[in-house]
Amino acid sequence: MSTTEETPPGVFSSLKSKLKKQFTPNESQSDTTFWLLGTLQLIFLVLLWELWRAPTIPGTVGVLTAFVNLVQTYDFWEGLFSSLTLAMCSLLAATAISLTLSYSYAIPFMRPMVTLFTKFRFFALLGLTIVPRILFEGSFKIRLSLLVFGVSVYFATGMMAVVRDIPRKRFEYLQTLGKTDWQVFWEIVVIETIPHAFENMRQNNAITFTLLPLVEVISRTGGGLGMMMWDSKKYGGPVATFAMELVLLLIGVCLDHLIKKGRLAACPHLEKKKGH
Amino acid sequence: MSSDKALFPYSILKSPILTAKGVSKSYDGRQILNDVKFTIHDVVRPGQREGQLLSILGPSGAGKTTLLRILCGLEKPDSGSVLVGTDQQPVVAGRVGVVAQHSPLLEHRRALGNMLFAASGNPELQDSADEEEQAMQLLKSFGIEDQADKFPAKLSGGQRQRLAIAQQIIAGNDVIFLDEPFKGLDLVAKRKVGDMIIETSNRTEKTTIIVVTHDIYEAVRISDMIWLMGLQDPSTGDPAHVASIVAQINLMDIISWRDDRHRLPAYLDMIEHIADRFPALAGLGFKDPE
Repeated sequence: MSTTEETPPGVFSSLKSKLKKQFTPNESQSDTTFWLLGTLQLIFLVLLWELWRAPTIPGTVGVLTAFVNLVQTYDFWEGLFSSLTLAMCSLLAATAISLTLSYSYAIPFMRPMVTLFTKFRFFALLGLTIVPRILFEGSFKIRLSLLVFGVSVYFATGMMAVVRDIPRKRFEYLQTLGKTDWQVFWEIVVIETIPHAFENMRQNNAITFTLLPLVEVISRTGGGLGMMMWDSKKYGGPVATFAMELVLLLIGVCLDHLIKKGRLAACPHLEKKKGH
Repeated sequence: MSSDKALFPYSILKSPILTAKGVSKSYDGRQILNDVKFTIHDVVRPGQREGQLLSILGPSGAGKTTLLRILCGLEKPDSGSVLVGTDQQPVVAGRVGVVAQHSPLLEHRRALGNMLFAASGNPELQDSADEEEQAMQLLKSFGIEDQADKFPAKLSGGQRQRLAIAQQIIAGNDVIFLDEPFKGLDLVAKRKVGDMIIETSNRTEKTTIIVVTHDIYEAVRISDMIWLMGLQDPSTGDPAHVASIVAQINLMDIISWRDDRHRLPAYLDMIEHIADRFPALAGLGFKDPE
């Protein structure tokens, strides 16, 4: 008897059809399949890293060992605390500034100013260090101002587009209910865009973690994981740098998840999407 | 054109509640509306149905939406004026209600929240307890009181439409425009929406519903009066580049009001009569003068 006869044809065809679905564009995907595939793909990536890496690139075991060594040092926890304080303060300040600017785009007088602000995302952060160094005293304020500026320009660009693209009909709908211009502004521009604000905050969070080590390095003062990466020789070389990168990645992903949950809690009208 | 005693022989005409006086409008140098004029009176019909139900009927491209936007104060006419209320004041947005296509609602507020938000601008409602009581009463009269705690995304199309109308009523609007309420619906759904509109207009004597539509069958079935709109010269009936109100049909005289009006021969005759005019109203067959 052939192999086909040994395997029940129902199971085989069902597996084949499930596999085919995973390669069909726009097909839905259950949570179980998503996580199963994700785990397999992650294992594949780790294997790829381990087997195909250049000899100078640290391996998984080396990075894990460096991580275990790092968490036993005072410097790591001090650096992590410094970096996270900076990241959280920056996230809050950038969100407040960007939302204020984006909402003010609804006011015609403010439009040119907000548009100009968003163009500063093409401004090199490295050269900008001179301004906060003159304006502020203390390394924290210098780093915070750099990071807030670096993040706000992107966040404001995203939210400004959301405010700009609100259909005229939404405003007219509330006008026909006899609402004043400021009531319409509050309900349509501020309240109705809260889900978008959360989505932009997630991107904001990601940019914060991308820029964080860079800002710490270019400000050259105040420590943090960025400075520890720069001085990696002191902590075990590239393996320690990789370990710290992984720490930042994991914290960033956890925060992203928290903001996502916050979005659903703040906006109960949004349906929780099942599957992927 | 204005409604007068001859058009409403069995009705008591009270003061005008909406008047369009020679409304014209152009966009980018192209004239859309020309000299649109009509008057809607507050009508009382002893022993008959209570509110008024009127339709502005015309084919697509006849300028209905432009006229609607001007009538409810969302746009200003190039010339002419629109006066509303018994005091006949120039219209501003919010003086008359509008339920746009697809029934817009505040998606982040529950059905009751939508009602309370609209009620907060109504000076006739004294306090929040009064607002909530009125809101629940209206939801009940529209048959959606059990949906009060649901977000609009969870409501059916019909329930959304009813909530949107109820919202306009609680905001204090006695004159409510409905923009294309039958668009995209099948025959059964159209009947349901039509019946709901009739019920709404019958809620109180002071409610006037004006349906802006291209649906001849439903417009004739539910309306007391129809204004035909399209690309014709109202005085000569000749084809024209610019849309205006070309005829006023008082259906209350021609097909007396009854629930089974659509089964009467006069209803079918009226459908035929209007359908025959539609190609001309749409500007078909119009030739530019050489």
